[in-house]
Amino acid sequence: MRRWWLTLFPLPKPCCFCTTPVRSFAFSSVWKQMCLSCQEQFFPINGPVCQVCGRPMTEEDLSVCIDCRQLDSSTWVTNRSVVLYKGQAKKVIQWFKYQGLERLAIPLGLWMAESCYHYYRRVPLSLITFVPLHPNRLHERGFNQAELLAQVISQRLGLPVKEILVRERETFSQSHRSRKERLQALQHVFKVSNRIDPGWLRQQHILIVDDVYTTGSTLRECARPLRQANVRQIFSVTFAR
Amino acid sequence: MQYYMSIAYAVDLTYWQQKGQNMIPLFYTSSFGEAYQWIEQQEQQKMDPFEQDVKPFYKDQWNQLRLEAEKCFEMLQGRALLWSEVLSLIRKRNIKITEETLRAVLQLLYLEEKVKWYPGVSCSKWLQDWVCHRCQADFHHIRLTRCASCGKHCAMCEHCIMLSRSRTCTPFFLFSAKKVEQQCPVEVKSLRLTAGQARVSEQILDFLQGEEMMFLLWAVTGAGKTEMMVPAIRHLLSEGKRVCWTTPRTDVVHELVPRLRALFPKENVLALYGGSSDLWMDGSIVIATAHQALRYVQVFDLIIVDEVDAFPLYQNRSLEQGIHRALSQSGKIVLLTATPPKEWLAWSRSGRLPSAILPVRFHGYPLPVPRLFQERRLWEKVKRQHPIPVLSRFIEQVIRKDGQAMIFVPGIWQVKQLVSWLHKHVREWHSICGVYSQTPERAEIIDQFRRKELQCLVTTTILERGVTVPHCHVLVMGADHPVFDQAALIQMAGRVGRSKDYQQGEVWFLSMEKTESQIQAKKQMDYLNSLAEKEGFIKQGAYYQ
Repeated sequence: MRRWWLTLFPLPKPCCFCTTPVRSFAFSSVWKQMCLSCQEQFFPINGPVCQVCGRPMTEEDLSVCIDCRQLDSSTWVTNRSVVLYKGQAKKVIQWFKYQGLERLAIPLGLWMAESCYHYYRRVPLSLITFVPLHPNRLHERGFNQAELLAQVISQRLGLPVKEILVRERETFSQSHRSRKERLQALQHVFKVSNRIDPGWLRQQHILIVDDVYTTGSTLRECARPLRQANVRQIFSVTFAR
Repeated sequence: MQYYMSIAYAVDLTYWQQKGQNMIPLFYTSSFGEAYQWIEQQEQQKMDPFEQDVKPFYKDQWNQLRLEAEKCFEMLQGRALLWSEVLSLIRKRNIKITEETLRAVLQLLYLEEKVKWYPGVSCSKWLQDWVCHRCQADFHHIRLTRCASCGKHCAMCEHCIMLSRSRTCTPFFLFSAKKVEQQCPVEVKSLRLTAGQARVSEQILDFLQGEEMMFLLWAVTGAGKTEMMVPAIRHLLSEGKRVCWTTPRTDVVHELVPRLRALFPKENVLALYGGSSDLWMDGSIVIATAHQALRYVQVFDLIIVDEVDAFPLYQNRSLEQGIHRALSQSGKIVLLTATPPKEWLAWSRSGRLPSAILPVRFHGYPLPVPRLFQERRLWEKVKRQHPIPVLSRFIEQVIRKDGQAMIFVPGIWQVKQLVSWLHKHVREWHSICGVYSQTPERAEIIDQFRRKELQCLVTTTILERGVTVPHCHVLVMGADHPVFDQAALIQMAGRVGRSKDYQQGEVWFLSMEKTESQIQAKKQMDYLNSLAEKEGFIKQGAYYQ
């Protein structure tokens, strides 16, 4: 009886991150497709942000945060993130990246695409790429989380995805390191893949996708070979920071 | 002619050479599932030819491998693990072994038929045949993705992903269990069973000797189910057998472990739940969540399933099959519940399911019978913070009797609304808290409530089972909501009066309408009380022997 009832009058779709049914429209934003308790535990970044790294700022602050000002301004990469890396976001990243719940790429990617649209509306982006994994790590994990996100974003924004960067050597997990170690460990790890035509690359406005932004060293290192290849502009988007 | 799979070819080469049998390598594939399917279906698909130059083991290497295999099998026996889980087990036990040697070891065990293996998920031509071999989930939960490990499209199961990722290209090992039959005395802290408990535990001991496989124990909330099972557990342990106590909820595991450790001081009692530190260890008594039982195969001689009718265990095919898989061939299952579903009662009446009923609590006092109240436009009044006389009356009587109030509401939002209502209308209480599944400091708040630091706790159905607070009064707000079925209402009412010393606790159901489940819940508690009276248990003097 109950089964027939549910076939005729199905429950509303579940929340993207838990099983609570949520009444929403298919094309409404990810935020509206979430249940209220999940909403409460995400901390989206709205309002003024650091013009470089996308850190949330108060109104009185300058346009660039302290951490960014310590860096050489030629290495700056414009980054925007969707939520703060705490609460539910931490859990969701854990499920997605380490447990391997690949289905989460869709809501996360769509949410990032919304942010991209919000921040980079006026930028003539032409290409999306992602932070590569070392082949060994990729083999172990079975998927590249940044690639999955990039694919979803590209579908929503209507831009092509291309694997431009490759990792030259294996580095150990960043998540157990201190700030200083992270900044040093990654130097010269990435390079532009041989298969890419440099003339073509030179004309691109590139968006780099990653899952979590902590110190930004990964993204800066990714941008370095691209800058050397004289790419026009480099932006980046991450889910959490 | 027989087909075999190999994850370490050199082992096959040596093994069959020693047996004097001929062997030809057929093909090579990066995905375990593909090889399995090839053997199952015997379809002569085209595969990559096997082109590796492998040499057989030298004699001393081979002997070394055999020793290694024996050592590993000792640890792995009776488990059902994916490759990644085997690795974590080996790491947790501090065994120095490379992945390559481990692969050779597993291959040797496979050839010796000590381990069976399947791909994590098998996806054949027909969608209906797709299945996750670990959790038995069907195609609804299986997702095809591009896999970088095998370089092919490969299926993964999302149903049991929180345990670890089960995929087509990874093997799932079922290690057969060793039979250990040795008499060993078991030390148990002496415990005093009441007449009713003693009768039931004798029934269970009889059942263990008999032919039947399942036994239903219907005991009211707070009847002392744990203590009743102790004689049975002791009996099995003394024969060198293994016992598993499984329950759908982590909270119940947390509550059971210290009690069983105190009862069996010499035994190794394991607590298994997601993120537990006992994971991958060995013990004679295993207390596990139902999901953790999926990691065992044919190893337990008695599985006690606590709170069988609770989410997520009840009517969950995969967890049920997992429990049956963990059971040894002559093993028995005891189902414990305070609220058996209707069909089980029918089976028990018709004799298909042997059962026992214990209608009285350990202290001999009757169950608290709920009082039903109706209030019009209840939630609107809560939302607008209008006065609700019944609610105020309930709180007054709790304060008068120096108790603590536990208020159940149907949803998370009502928790917040009610907490703010209480803050406005109840001046006497300063510590009122709301708890729901996603509250980060959930365990801490519950602990505070137990220690009587909180006077009132507003919660959803998460606390309906497994929480014991001596001075508790219960109010179910919106008892007409569909989430509160008969079982939930009985369980919530069962939180009251669990202590011998405090019997003034009351249960009130407050709703907009009287529903069938409320009436049935009340009826069932009346029935149990009358049954207890008939059997002569509700006589305080006569109760204790």
